Amino acid sequence: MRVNNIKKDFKDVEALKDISFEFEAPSFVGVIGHNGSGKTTMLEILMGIQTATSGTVDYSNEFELKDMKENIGVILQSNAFYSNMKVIELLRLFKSYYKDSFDINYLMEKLKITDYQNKYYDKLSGGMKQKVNLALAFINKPKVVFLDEPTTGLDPRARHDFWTVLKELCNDTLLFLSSHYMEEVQKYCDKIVYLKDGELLYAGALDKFFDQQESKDLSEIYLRISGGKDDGDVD
Amino acid sequence: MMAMLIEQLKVEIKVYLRQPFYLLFSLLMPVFSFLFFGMMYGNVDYNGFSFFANYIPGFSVIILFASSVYNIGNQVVGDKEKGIYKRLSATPISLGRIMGVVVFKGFLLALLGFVIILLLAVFRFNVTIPNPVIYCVSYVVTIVYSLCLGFGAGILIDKLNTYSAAMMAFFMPMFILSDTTIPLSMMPGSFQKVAMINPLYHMTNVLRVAWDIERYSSDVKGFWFSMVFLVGLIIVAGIFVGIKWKKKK
Repeated sequence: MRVNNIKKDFKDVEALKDISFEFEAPSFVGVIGHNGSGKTTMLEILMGIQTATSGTVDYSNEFELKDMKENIGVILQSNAFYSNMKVIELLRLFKSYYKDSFDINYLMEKLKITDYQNKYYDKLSGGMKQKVNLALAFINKPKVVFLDEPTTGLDPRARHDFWTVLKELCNDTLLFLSSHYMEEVQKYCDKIVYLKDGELLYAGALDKFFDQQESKDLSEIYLRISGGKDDGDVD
Repeated sequence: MMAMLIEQLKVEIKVYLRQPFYLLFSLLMPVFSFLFFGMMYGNVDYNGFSFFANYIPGFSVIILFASSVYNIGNQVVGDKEKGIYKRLSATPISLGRIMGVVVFKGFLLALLGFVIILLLAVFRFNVTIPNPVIYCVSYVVTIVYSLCLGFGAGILIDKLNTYSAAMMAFFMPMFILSDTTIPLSMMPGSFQKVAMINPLYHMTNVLRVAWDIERYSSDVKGFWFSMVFLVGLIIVAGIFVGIKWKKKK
């Protein structure tokens, strides 16, 4: 996919300034940047939830634009569903939205959530909820997947389980994943998009980024560049 | 597409039935109120018409308002605030279709309340419906009208707290000044004037005429004033909703 000169303005705030990059499947792209750097805004534009002020997103190598929503999967920063809804009901509902989808039982077994199918979604633990969110993100066998801070709030064990399952589900998939955990981006991603104050600092292979920065520690590079600053969230 | 709509409707109804507060407020309370008032005042005439000719349309309007305007609006605002529609906007399903199912659920619930009231009237109180076809058709039109109002309120208001506060502030006066329980003629003149801008009062007026056509000739001006008011209200509301919808897009 190709992103061409994406800009996004909110009233008097320039949330994204001329973002351009190109990636192809299969890739795990880590989207990193400080709070308020524009990660969520950029991801939501790519998902089609927000519209860019200017610029284009070209998915023609993956699918036709008119079929975009059939071919993408998402986990938002905050995922809410109807109250008092069981996991199995949620999966059936989302399955009905798509022309092509996985068998629900297959997905539940893969994600080890079969025992939770009759539990209410809003009563699940954070780790379990994210597994269900993953199931919903992958139910339509997506070609491109966007995950916005999916491991935030998960304990180390839950994060490990999340990544294990994610790697199993991704099959020739282009995956974008934003995270504040540099160690997991470094471990699991082969490409990165690095944003700072709405500007694109780097987009490309992680190895090349390490060569440029003369360091193989993403946390150290991040702290050096972003200065550990928290500017608040304008996303 | 049909499979998706049916699945969505199933979910809507299941989720609704799992929230007993909604069921109590929008269906059970008006039905029990109707039973109670029917037993107390069933033999009393009001303005030359029987209790049931006045209050069956009235209670039907109360159920309608509770299940459509309050319930639907509350759901739309709440789901919007939680971010449910944001998540669903990343799927192929259009927001319009989801809203359509939500509104259809409201329609079914209002219809259910209406049927329960009529069954109680016929079998508990031995009421004869003078113009069943006209009354039923008029009520269906009123359901659609109320759902538009409720849905519109849900689009216009962004926060659930604001919606709840607005409903609390407006619902009680609208309920009291609707002429559906306490007769308006027993209230001070100033209250009766305020009732002239109460959509519940006008909906009750129109449905009372639909119940008994003879009522039309006893207050032609009042009937047409109610019709013009209701049409005007939906046009004005529609304009505001249209502006807000375009702005959000």
